[in-house]
Amino acid sequence: MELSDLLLRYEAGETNFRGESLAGTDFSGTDLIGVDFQECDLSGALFVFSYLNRANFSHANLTKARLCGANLSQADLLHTNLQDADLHGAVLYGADLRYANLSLANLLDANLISTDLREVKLAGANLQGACLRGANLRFERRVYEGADLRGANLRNADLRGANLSGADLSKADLRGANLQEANLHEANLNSANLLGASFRGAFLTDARLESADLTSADLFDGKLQRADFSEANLTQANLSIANLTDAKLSRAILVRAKLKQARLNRADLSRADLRWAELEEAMLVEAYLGRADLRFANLTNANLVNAETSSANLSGATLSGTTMADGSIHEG
Amino acid sequence: METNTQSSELRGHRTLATVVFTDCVGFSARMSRDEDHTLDLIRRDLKLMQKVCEKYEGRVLKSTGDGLLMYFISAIRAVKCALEIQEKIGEATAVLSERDSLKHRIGVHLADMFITDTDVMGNGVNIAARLQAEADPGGIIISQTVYDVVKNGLQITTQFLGPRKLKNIDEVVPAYKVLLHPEEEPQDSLGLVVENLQNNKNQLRIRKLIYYACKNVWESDTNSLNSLDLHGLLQDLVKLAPNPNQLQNFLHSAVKTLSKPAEYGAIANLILAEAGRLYPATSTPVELDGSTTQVTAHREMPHVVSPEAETLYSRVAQTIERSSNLSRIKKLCYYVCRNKWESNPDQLNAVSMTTLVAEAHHLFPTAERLQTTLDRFVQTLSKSAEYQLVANTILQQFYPLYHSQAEAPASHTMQSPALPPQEPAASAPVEPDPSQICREVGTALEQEQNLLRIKKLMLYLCDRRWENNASALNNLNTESLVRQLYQIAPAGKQLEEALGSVVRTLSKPAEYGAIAHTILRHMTPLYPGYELPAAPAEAPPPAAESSVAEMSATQPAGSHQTPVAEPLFSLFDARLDIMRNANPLCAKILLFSALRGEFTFSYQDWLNLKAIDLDGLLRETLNQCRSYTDLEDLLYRAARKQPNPDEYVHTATRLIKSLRFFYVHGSIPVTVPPLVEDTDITPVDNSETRMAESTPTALQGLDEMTCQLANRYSNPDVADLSGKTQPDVPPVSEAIATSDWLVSSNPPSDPGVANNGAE
Repeated sequence: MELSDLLLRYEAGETNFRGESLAGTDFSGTDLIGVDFQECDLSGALFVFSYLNRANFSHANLTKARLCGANLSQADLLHTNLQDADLHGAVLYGADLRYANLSLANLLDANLISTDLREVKLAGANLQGACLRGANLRFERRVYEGADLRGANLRNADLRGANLSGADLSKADLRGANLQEANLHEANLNSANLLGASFRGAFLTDARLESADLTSADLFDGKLQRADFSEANLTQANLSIANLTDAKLSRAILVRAKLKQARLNRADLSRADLRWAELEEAMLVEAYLGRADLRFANLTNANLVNAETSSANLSGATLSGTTMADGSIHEG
Repeated sequence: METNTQSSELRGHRTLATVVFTDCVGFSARMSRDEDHTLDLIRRDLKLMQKVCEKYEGRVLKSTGDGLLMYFISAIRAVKCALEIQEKIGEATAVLSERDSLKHRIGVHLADMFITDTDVMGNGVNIAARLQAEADPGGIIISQTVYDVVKNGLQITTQFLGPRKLKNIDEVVPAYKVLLHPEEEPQDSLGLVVENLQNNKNQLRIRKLIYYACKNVWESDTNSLNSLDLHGLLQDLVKLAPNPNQLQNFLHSAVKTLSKPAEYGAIANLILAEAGRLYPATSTPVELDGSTTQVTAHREMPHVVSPEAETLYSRVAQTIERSSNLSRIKKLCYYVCRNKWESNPDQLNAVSMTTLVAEAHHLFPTAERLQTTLDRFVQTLSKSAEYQLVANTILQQFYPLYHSQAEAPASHTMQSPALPPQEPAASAPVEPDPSQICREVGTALEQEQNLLRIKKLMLYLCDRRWENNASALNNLNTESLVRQLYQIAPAGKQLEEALGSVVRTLSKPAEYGAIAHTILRHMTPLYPGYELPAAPAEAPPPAAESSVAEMSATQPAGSHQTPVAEPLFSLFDARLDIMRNANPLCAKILLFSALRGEFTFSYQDWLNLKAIDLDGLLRETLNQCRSYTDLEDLLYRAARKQPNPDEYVHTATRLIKSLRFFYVHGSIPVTVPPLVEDTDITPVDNSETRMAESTPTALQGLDEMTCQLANRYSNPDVADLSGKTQPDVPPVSEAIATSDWLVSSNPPSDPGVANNGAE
């Protein structure tokens, strides 16, 4: 179908263009609000700055399409193939992207506020600076798999309050991202780069963060119960008041980390490097500190009752008012 | 003891038997206090037990010193015996003084065990012993086995305690408490309520809510919730709310503070329906239908207030209203009562202080609770040290409310009112000692050469008033200032923190740092045990150099840690605002062409645009535009150059609007309505409402801005309302000087800047 033909029909009030083959067509700047492009072949099509609000692209093929600056708010993009598509600065506010394939797509600075992204494939996608507040990417047993964000670029992305439970973010780049109050329950963040990311008040319960780089990350008041931080780098990270009950921190690097009033009960800190860590008033009841390096750590008023500390290195640590493993309170 | 020598033809065999185990409450403690007398008492009681035991054809197998192990062939007789023992001892001790009476616990269990002449062995005995430990003083606990055997043959009232996990016993043992007196009936209803609540499918949430209502702590850990003692909690709840209506208000006001009020409202109604049984029949009918209307009305009419209470409230409110610090006191009261930080003076004025006092008193029936809540709320504020003093003032002013309750049996029968901890401080000036010191401190301060500044700072701390008039300052009595300061800061550490946080907001922090230290040094005698901060202690620092060093030593640490700097400035919020109101790509193109020259939509330009994100462009813009007019000029000029200027002028307007706050206030308020919505998003079942996020900026509240104060801490709301009219507000150009400080001092995003630069 010719473009002019299509636009005329749209002008006349027709919206149903299902199953058409429109590969490579240039729709740039057009107003196609509410258009129905279900199951269309639109690979390589151009939609730069087009108005596609509430359009329906379900099951359409949009591989390598250019949608920069396009407005796709509340559009239906279920099962849409957007591999390698360019959505730079696009508006996808409230769009339904369930099961969509966005692998390697460019979503730089895109507006993804309140989008439905369950079981979306975003592996290797560029989401730098994108805003995903209130987006839903959660895993639901027997219904939706977790979102696939492996190796995605999420630098400076705003994910505050987003639901990423069960999402796969392994090897993703989340440097400087805003993950405050986000839900990352059971998410996979293995080997992710989280340098300087903010997780204030976020939920990371049962999440996996093995070998992740959390240098200078802000995990203040984070809910990190049972999270696995094995071999993660948490140098200078802020973990004050965080709940790390039953968390796994073996071989984690926590040099100069702030752990004031953190709850580390029953946490596994074996072989962790806690030199100069600030553990004032931290709770370490029954924590496992086998061969942990606590040199020069500040344990003022911390509680180590029943913790396994026999092989921990505590030389140079500040222990004033610390409740030791045997229940005695360290003087001085 | 003679009991041990009882002989028997039994030479040791297995048999099914009922054992009764008694134990004296607090025996060793009593022994340690008065050995001889306690021994006399226990001999008397054990003798009585032995007699009763013989009467019911039981046999005393041995004595443990403070209790007996008895053995019966009949379970009914065993329970009868236990009952009679407790009754007899109860009757006997009713007329005796506490010193002359002992209380005993009894556990009864039926099991197959091995019996010899003088002892009985087996798991069953251990269970009886453990059950005994579970009993109330003067009470009896029987196991399920015993209960099943005796329930038809014996007229006893019991209360099911549920399966009990006993120490060192593998299986759980269902146990019953035998009620000795009919008046223990309500106790029974408590057990029923506990049982019903426990069997409810929402029992976890029920526990959460009750725990939250009683302890004001939101516990979401399932294990610790399950280990809670629902019995005790319900008893606390009943104590806190002595009638069903109060309970209803109490629960609903707790629910209001949660992020899932609808769900928890239902839970509250559930608890109400059950807990209604705990109140005497006259007041039992809790009308759940009426609950909704009543709850919405409760803000205005906290509860039926007696006229005496009303006058008391207005009296307290009047004293508070006389305080020059009223606005802060009111703000904090409002925050604590309504769980919302209100910095709009109109809104605040709409609520009378009396209402707030009544509400606060209703929400926090004890001084202790008021204090813990105040403390908790103050912690969420960015100026916690200063507001700690305000909280202290509130506690002091509220003192008569909690105090009078002790004498006047008001309508509410609360827990014995705990005295506010700073009570000694409140009454301190009456005592000769601190008052004498106050006078001495006052005289000593008068000798200081910087007296005017000292007074300025002290006045500011007490009254939130920055007085520049020298004669007005001279007229102030130094001693009374000292006394006031001591009253609102009863601990040295508090004074130190409050001084420190005020000084940081002043335009001459170094000079006033020294003044603060002088005040602290002079006031140290008032705080026994308080140690003056060591660093500049030796050199009384009128010299500017030493004080500069002192301040700069604290500053870098502060800039990294103070909650003030951090949540304030957030480019994320600005970006969200832009995303919501403009096309992100248009915004980028506009910024790009403004910063780098025209955007020609060429392939190369697209590549360049993709190389930088909006965040980076915004940072560059903020750095480049030193003033608000610069920003307007830059963006509008770029917009007009675009092929379709209308659209880009719109984008420019949006961008300027989103960035305006950085220029006008030196901070972006998190209180913009859409953002507040966002902070309320709480994932999963953690329903605790977070207030820290939505408040800190509002708290910049320097309702008392003067030119002495650095503008970066200015209150956006106040300035917004009165920016043009208020002569004290610093000119915008001054504020701009701080913008680069803001851009560069955002720790979490710093790496981002570095990376953008590298690309």
